[in-house]
Amino acid sequence: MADRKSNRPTYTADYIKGDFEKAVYLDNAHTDNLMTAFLGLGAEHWALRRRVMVLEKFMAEGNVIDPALVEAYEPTPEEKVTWEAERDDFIERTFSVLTRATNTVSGPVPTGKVPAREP
Amino acid sequence: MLSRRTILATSAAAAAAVVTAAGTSQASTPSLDIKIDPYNQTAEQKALHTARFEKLDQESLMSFAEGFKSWNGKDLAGRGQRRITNAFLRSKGLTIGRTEIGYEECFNLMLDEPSFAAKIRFNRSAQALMWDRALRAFHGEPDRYLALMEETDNTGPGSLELNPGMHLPDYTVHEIHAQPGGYVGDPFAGWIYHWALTQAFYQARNQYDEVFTAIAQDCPKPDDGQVRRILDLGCGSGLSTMAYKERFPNAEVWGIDAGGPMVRYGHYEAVQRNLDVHFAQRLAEDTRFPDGYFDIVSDYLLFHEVTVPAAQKIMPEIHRVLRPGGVFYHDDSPTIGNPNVPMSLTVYAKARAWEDHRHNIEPWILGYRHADFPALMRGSGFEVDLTIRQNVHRKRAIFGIKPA
Repeated sequence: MADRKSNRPTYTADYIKGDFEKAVYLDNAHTDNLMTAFLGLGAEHWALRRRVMVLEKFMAEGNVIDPALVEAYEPTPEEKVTWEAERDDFIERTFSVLTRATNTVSGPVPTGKVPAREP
Repeated sequence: MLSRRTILATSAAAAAAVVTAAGTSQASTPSLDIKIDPYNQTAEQKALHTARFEKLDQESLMSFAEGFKSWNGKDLAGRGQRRITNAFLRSKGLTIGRTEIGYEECFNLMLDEPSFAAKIRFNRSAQALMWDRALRAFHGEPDRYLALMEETDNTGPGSLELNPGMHLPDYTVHEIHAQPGGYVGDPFAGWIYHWALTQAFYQARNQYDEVFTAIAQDCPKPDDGQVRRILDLGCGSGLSTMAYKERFPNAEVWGIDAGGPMVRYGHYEAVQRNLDVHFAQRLAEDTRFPDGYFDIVSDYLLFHEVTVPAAQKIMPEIHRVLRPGGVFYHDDSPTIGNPNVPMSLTVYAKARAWEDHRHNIEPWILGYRHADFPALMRGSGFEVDLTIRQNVHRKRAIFGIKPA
């Protein structure tokens, strides 16, 4: 099947979508969602920690950055726009699960097909 | 520092020289058989086998998923998991041993135990996080990754056959492992599967294709030692297929899979590794190869992803395309009839199996578990070998020999 946006071939096919995203395992859906958001925050926190560790390593080795300047830095207007977009993406990535649709997942696996995903 | 492509070019030249030297007398000498230690790879082998995300954050998010899945698997309820589960079951008047209670009922019973429910929640959320963050990496630059595959679709080494109009049985189009779009519905399914699997799915056990290299290295050869052609059934993104080519560089190696995006990525990756491997989008029950064409047919984790009726069609097809004396090398999850891997049927084990089946979308795994797979092999004419080989890292492997 071709990519509907560009007609580039993607060799995909319609597939049967699972309903696993709607499952609730704890006492209510919000508790489930909070745990998922908590997990996402952990992932983002670890990514940040790793980046800081890499930066600190190169700073220490090359003496290329003054830590005081890092502490005092104010983003430029352009950076502010970019960083706020990144922030919003981070929030969407981490917390959008709180808005997910939920359902009771039981009985047979679904059999209804949906269109293939686009690039 | 050598780039990945530089290392590939150097290794390919060396491999080509070896193949040329051995190829002149291939018919009268045993097949070239390269030994690679999966767990002590050289720096060049690691560079060939790694699939590291380009951006630090992508790599870090996958690193977190890897660590968390590992922790959740063993530590969420602490070392008292068994004690907690047993006390819970006793409080409900249930046995802690084998039970006749159904899988779904076991799952629903265990959800009343808080640490189990939390473990399942985190397990599902970590799986979703793994797929989502990998998916975002490729869908964030769709034109780039489409272009990369377009560049290699019609180039070698090796070849790629895609059949976009072919009929795909419904059993092949589920979102297996809860991977968005499954193996057929996402243009980057092969990338997502390989890159997420490399780190997080195997929880650091496959960062350099160790699992797939070991599978290929462990495969027994036919008694006469001749390995001229190998078929890797349900090859997915081609990691095992490429590992066979690395072990048997002068063999004709094929990987087939129902998923077009999977074999397309497999071919792309084989070109990057300069491996002459053939990938085709075909069904395992209709391989379209001549009778007796292959010396070895292998499958890794194929049969639990097909229905029992499909398995009953695939097995005779494997027998048909193997030559007399050829080896069928099967490696999958536990199944009735394989005494080397006893299957646990406790409430807890059934609850986890139901989670895998229903919530991780393994629609056919329960059928596979309860099918007598060795009997199915024998019914198609195979001599079944359940011997645990010293070098085979997975004792669940089952070997079928087509009588000479």
